[in-house]
Amino acid sequence: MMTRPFAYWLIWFCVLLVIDIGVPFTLLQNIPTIAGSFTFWLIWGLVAIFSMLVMMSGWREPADGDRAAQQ
Amino acid sequence: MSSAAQTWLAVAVYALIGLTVALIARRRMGGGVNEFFLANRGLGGVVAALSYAATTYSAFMMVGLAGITYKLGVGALGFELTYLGGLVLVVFFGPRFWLAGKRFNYLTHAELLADRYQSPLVGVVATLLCLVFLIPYGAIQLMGIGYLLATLSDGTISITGAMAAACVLAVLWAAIAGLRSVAWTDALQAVVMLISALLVLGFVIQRGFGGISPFVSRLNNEVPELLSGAGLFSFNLFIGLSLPWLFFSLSNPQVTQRLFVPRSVVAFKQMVGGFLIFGFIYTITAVLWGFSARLLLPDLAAPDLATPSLLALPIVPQVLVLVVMIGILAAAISTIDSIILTLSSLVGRDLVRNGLKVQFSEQRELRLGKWVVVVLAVIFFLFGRWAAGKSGLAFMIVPLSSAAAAGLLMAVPALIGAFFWKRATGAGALTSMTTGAVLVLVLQFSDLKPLGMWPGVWGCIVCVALFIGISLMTTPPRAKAEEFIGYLERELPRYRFF
Repeated sequence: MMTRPFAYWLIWFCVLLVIDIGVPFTLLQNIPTIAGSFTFWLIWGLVAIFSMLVMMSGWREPADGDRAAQQ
Repeated sequence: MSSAAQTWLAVAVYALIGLTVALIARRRMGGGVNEFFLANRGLGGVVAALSYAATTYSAFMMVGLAGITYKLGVGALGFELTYLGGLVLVVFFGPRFWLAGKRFNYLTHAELLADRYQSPLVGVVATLLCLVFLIPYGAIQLMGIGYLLATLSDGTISITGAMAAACVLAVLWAAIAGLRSVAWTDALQAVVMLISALLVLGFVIQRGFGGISPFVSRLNNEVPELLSGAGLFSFNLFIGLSLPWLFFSLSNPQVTQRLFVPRSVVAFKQMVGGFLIFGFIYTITAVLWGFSARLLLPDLAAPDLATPSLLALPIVPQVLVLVVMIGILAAAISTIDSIILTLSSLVGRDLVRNGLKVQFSEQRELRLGKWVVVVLAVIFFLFGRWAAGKSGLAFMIVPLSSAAAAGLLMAVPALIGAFFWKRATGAGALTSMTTGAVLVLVLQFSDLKPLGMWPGVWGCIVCVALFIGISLMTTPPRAKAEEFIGYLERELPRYRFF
């Protein structure tokens, strides 16, 4: 089952992955300082982590209890 | 005090503290297989996060990643952070593992696969895959410990003695209270790993360069080739290293088993969130170690010497060297004991009980598991001793690490299919895992890279194609697929999982 939010996040992370690999090997190829790929990957990492924290922020215990554990 | 005596003293203090923590963990221990291997699915978020970090990050980080940065530059940061980004797989799949584990009482990922595909053979093959690829990987960790302690004690501690000591500690921490003692000692070790690494970085940057600004300035001026693009990484090398790491959180059983253990949704969120923050800081620290070594010690004979050589510099206080040595030791042992514990659960549950259809009580399964812990530690030790005596770490570490990461990747299509594709079949899972693993081994050890692509990439392409193709040609276990996926489809929205 793939819900709509799942699909949106999946697309977002696919885009992030393309950026992760694509940008340093193209746009940052000629920036030989720490302001280039190093800074790019730090920001990329923070964006990826923040995205995951946002994804998890809505997770809740169900109002009617944990049926899986009761079964 | 001699360097050997100091080293042994530091190891003894570390072992004593670890044993105390493990024994305290034992006081909370109940009975049964679920308790021993999964801490009764009741780990709190903070312990789970630190344990996940200590299990994931091995001696590779502070020795291997620093070495790769030393040699190839900023791409090392890229591929390691790509792994961290890959943790989105845990956000997608973790809740599915967690819910299915509780509902169907799964102990291992192989048991999940065997039940979902209604084929015990799938569980057996998934277990064999783990044994084939994780035993050498665990042995490498031991060898890393052996070399580290031997180097820091100026050779007065033998590699064999250090490996034996590490094996004993790993067995004790796994056997005293199963996952509960492993997780608690992991948590302690993760804190030591991170703090010691940060302290060394602080001393190196301050005393070696005079602060952050001079450090950055020297980096820009002296090693621009390591900062442009992905540094000296070729595109294929970057993909070849990143791909297995990207799927590490799903491919490695010692971490997928952790997806069964958080006690609540909040604990699950804390585990993933805490690990992400830990991993981000730890990764940057390891990479900066590598860059620092490159600037301070530009002429090392081998990149793997970057960390030992950096620690040998007089700018790092001796007492801190011992603490960081313990930090690296902790990183290795916390990975080894988790691997041993997971493999022993796989052998007992998926190989003997479900595969060979041996009927035994939970108590006997538990006893078997504890014996397997000891046997596996002996095998790790013998393998490590053989490899260390034969050709040394430099010969083994790269091909075995790559083969392990790439080989374990071959179970991922079957896992994804289990959760999402009702048409997936046991035959598809079996064929894709076995063929993919054989292909990876052949390419890895023949050193072949057709079209310049790494074994993991080829293995993945063939594995996915076979999984889909064979599944479409065979009959799926429809009733089980409906029950398994149907259950998840009903439950996921209740927790607001994706």
